[in-house]
Amino acid sequence: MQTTPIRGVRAVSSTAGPARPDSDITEAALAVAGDESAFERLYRKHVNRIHALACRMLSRDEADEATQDVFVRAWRKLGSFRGEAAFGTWLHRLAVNELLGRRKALGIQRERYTADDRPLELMPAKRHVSVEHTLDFEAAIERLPDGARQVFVLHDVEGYRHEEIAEMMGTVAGTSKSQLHRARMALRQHLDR
Amino acid sequence: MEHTWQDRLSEYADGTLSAGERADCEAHVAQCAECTALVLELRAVARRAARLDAPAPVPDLWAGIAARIADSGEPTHVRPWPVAARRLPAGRRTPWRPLLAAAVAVFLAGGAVVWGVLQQTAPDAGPAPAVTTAVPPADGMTVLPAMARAEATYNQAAADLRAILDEGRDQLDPKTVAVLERNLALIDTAIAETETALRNDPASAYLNSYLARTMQRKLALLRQAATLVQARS
Repeated sequence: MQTTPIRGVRAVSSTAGPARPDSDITEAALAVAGDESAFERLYRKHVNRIHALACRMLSRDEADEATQDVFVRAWRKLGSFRGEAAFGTWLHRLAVNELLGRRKALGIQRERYTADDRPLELMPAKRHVSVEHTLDFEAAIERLPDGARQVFVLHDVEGYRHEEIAEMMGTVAGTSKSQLHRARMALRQHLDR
Repeated sequence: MEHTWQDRLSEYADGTLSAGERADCEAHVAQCAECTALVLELRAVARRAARLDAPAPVPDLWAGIAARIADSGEPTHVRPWPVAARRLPAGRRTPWRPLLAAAVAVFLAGGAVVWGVLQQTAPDAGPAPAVTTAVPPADGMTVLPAMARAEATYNQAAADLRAILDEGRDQLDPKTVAVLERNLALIDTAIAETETALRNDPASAYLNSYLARTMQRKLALLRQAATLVQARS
């Protein structure tokens, strides 16, 4: 069997239209100078992507507040944006760190052992349940065990490399790889084919 | 058959195994229908993840963010962006000297004004040599020598940065130039009005602080404009 990679690292860009790095740099410059309306334009351009990340890394319930925290933190840290990467990339990295920190601070260790909230690995495989009871893929991600879920989102959804994930999560690449495999093994039963 | 590679099939599917590992894994997968099917499923999961849509509609969160950043003040100014200097060949870095001067002027302007205000308002500050040696300017404002130097540095840095922008404006999107010019005009107006107010109340800590911050804003904006120009050159 040929060993072609599943895919390359996904380019980090806004979901709100084509990337316009110059426009973002201008807006960031204005925001650094204290222009809140410029920062609002950056918010509106990038919020969808950040909110989606927060939904998947934490939960839908926590996503709104976490997204606000990310943008407030971005405002405070704007002075450290040096234009070496696209603004969207800088913001996304800041968001990942914020969300990982939030997860850690809140002690989110998702132990889903109640009847309605079992960990995904304990859920019956698709082939043994009817279609209507099958979790959709997004909901299945939400039920992944903590750790595996974040690695899966960062690697397969967001396109980070294992080395980057390991650095952000304070672990090693090998752990990231095994967590990703664990997540994929659980999710393959919930593919909507 | 032992599935010794099963725990590493994601790495195999991603192509991240070493050459030797890949050869061994491939040899196993080639003769194991179960692992072959598993690899296909793992790839399908990754492909599915790559085409996910937004998981939930996004409410408008701006009002809450705006309220919080209003409380937190302006963004922290850390350092000028070195992006253009890093990308330009060594021989073309001269235009960045004004940017460094601008960064220095930011601190000089802010620091000198604050220092000057403290000298004039601190109740137990004692004799203030700098004040006694201050040279009264023609318009009657008391200007400390350090502040005068900072102001001169600021003016020179602003002029140099302005020159970079003027020379390179054709390389920028006209809409970008329009935004920059509009904001620069607003800042210049604010500076002029503050200077006028300071003539009537030169010891005002608020006005001095506001002037320093507004000058910093102008330099920051000009600096970023120069970054844009140099990134395009």
